[in-house]
Amino acid sequence: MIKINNLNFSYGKHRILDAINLSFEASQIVSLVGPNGSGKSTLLKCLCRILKSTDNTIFIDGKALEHYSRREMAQLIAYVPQQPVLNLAVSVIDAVKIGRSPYIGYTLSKNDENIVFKVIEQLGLTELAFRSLRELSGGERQRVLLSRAIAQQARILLLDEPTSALDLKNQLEMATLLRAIQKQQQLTVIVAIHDLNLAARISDSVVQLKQGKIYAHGRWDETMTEQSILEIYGVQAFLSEVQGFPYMVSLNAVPDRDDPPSGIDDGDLPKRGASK
Amino acid sequence: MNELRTTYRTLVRKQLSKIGMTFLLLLLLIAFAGSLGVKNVSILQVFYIILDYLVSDEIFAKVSELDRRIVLYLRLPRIALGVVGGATLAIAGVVMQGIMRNPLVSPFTIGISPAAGFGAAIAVLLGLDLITGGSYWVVLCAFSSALICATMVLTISVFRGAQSTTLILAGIALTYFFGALINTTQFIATEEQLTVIVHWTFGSLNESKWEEVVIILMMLAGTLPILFRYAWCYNALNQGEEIATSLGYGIKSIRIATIVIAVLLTASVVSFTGVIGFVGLVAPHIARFIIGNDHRYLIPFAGIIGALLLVASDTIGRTLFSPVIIPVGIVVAYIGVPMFVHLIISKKQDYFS
Repeated sequence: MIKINNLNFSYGKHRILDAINLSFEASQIVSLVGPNGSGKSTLLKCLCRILKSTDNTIFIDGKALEHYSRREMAQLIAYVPQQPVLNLAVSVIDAVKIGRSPYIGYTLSKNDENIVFKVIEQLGLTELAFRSLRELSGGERQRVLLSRAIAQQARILLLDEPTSALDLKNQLEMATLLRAIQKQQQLTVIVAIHDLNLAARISDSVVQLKQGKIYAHGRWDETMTEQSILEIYGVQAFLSEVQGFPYMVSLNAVPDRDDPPSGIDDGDLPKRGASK
Repeated sequence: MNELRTTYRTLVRKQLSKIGMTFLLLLLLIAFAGSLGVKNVSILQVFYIILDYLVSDEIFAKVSELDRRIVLYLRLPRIALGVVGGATLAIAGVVMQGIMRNPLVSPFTIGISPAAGFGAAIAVLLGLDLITGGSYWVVLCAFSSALICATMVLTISVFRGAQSTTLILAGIALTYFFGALINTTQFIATEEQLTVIVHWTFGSLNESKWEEVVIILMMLAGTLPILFRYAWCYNALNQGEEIATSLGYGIKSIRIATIVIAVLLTASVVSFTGVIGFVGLVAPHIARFIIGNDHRYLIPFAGIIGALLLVASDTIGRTLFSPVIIPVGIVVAYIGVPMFVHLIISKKQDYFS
């Protein structure tokens, strides 16, 4: 459904995406993982044309992205950025109904209104619908952003770190919600995510990015290995399985104080038990 | 869902009734302002005169010819210019704030007023105001000078993607620049020219003509549909530029179009009236405070508030020390600044971001 063909992207001289070749099937959740700066956000922004890539590199349903009109794009792809600078003096319902704007002229039709109400109910925001975003917690705001994207009724949903700013419970709720909605509406979801364990729980397949290049693309059991985590993140990890999902524990996230990695002068780190 | 719908409908109705009530208030103010002056005419008579004029002659033949003339040719054009001028300045302000997502921005922060003032001063200096049709030469010079300034500011800021910071900074720089140019013209002007220039910068609705009202109305009629079309884009921008882009809005081009329209509107008003800029900043804020951030309601509502503010100020200005007329540019600041300060320090200040 989505096909990426030799996609390159640079900011000035700095190459962010390097010869990306990918294809995504419809109605699946795909996780984009990789260290900070590996190009996850940039890839998402290229997919919804916030960043303009070269022509004939991204195809949706066989049609190159630049041949869709802005409105068609908005009806096809919804995007939730990582931490948008929101105007908080807007009510939840006003924020969600903006998702209908690619379909309407000046006023919301009854049908559009119903879609907005339905999404608000589905995401459990009914009680908050007429409050301003200022009065909401981080988790609730994230849900509002997701509601807006769902009200957009696009077949493709792009999410940039939807759980990173949330606490443990909210992360899980967001993940569950996402999975449920994806199943119900048969959405194609591409989600950039840092938490590998959470990613494993929600997604059908994973794209591992390393310095703007695809490291691997495949199912979890194929791609999430101790070897790949070491090569992508430079972190020694231990992999296990919990409730049928892969579960990763990092082992040397904090450098061993008694044996600092090469390149760091001994004097930089306080010795264990050393006193001054 | 039904509960949501009921609450939502009530809310929409409330918004619309706020707009309707304020509009009624404006109509009342217009009639009231028309009745006030050196020669008092009753509010009812003002209505008769207007109806008489609109429908046909002398259905309501209770009004004297003198009153009719005073109201039709002296007071109403003045009030009408106040209404369309105030509305235009406020609308220009509200869309500028909306597209830049910045409460500081108005067409005046990009240096339009001193630029228009400079244009007018040049016209006076060249003696253009003394030849036949002179007042239009002043208007034309003010208008072109304002546009030149705006073009310079826009060009500078477009280099940096038309971000609000660059726009404001470039605006401040050019405000000083055109301020210096005005000072230079005042420095070399003769005594009489100086009086004319200074009076122009006060900003007043004196000697308003119907033609001026019509010209501004035409500008509004040409641009307002575009601004209304962008209303959803301004709403989407409440959630940041990336979301607005992903919703299908070409932010950069809409931003430039909005600024150009706001500048044209403001310049056309200011060229006729002189500097009455504060309406363009304070009216949008009052409107936002009352009706919220949905630009579909906000744009017309800000227009009504702007009209109210300007007509009220002008009426106070010409009746308080009658027969002396205090220029409306002065009065509007005296009234608007305390209101604005109140808005800033009141607890509900967070209506913008």
